[in-house]
Amino acid sequence: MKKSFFQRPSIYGLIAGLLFAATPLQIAPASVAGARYTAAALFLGLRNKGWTCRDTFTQGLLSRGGSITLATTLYAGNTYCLAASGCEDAYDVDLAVYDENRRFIGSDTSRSSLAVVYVTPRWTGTYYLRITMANSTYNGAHYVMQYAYRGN
Amino acid sequence: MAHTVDQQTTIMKRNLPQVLTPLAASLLLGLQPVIAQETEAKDPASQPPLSVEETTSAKDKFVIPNPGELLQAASATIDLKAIVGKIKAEPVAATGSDAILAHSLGQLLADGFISLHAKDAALTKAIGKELLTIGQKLGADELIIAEGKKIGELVDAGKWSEASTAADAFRTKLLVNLAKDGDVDLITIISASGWLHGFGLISDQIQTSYNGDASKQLRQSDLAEHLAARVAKLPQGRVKDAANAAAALSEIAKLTKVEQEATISKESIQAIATAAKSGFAALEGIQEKK
Repeated sequence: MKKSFFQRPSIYGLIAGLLFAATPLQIAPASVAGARYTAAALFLGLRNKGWTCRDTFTQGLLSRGGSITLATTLYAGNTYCLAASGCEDAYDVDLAVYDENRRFIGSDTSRSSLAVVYVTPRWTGTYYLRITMANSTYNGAHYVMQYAYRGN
Repeated sequence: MAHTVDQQTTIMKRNLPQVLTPLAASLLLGLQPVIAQETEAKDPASQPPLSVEETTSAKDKFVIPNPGELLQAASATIDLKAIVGKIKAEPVAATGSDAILAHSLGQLLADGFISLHAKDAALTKAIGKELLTIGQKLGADELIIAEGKKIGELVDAGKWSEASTAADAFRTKLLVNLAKDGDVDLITIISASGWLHGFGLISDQIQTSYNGDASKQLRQSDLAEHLAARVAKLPQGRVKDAANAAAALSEIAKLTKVEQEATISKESIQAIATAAKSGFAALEGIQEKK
């Protein structure tokens, strides 16, 4: 006798499992790890060239097209590598840097999930970093903002 | 089913147009933004400024820099070796409540970073030993403590740059590890105590042998204001006087708010050093009631 669709437990279980797995229930730690991984090669190269990396990094979830602005202190006498990277779901992450007077300093708007801006501050003070998830999967993607520096 | 080489070639030839058409289309679609991107050039003067709203919300998400960053930048204009003598004279409390230990840990972190950047091996190792003992008392994991011990090995080998990088990483991991129980106040006490103590020592040195260029490194108004806001939230009964510590940080924020590339006067630096010392003393932990 031919079995109906729901009488085939293995197929039903497989479809239910796939649907469940595809549902974004919570922030997956792997996504933040993925965003860090995107910039890993860059930071490994910098470390090998004598740069020091800030082990503190900012992470979060951005909607597609969404952005966030962070503030930090940068010191004159150092050169900084500022990198915003996205996870596997990010197609295009942009980064723009502004000084304390809100003036634009530089940006990376290339179509990549890794945006990098090098800054040599003329004065010590507050700088603003705007991270934009220019393109990603429909439900957004995770970003990580990382910093490396070296003395001039 | 396995194909021979000839059969595979025939299949590829037959399907070539079907394969090439979407490939060509996707290549064309993919190239378009790449070409657009390469023609894009940003003239800073033509870019719109950041909005006031964005800067206000950004200050709530302030990222605190590594202690090594300031010392790396300042080492060209400030005599760090001259500060080392003052460090030797300052003892720390190694017993008591978590808040008392956190205050000591903040002080030792600041002292440790200064001695490391001043390349004083004996002092760095002595401070490191005290620091790890207090870290253990506060419940830091053995793995973190082992990482701390490795800094001493790098110092012994004269690998100062690597030791500095390792110290920055160790500090972050230690704070994250100590925050595992959710005691955010403890992290605030360590961070603010360390910052106030280190800032006090550096200000004192700049004031002693005044140097205009060195004074510019003290322009950390927003960072001081950020720490003031965090200290003001400390609950009563953990430190001596959180309100006074927050007021001292706000005072430092006010005194270090000067125009870009402007120097901070010797009198202001004296006031900064005094405020830093009083803020550090006010943050001293107290024995919690059981």
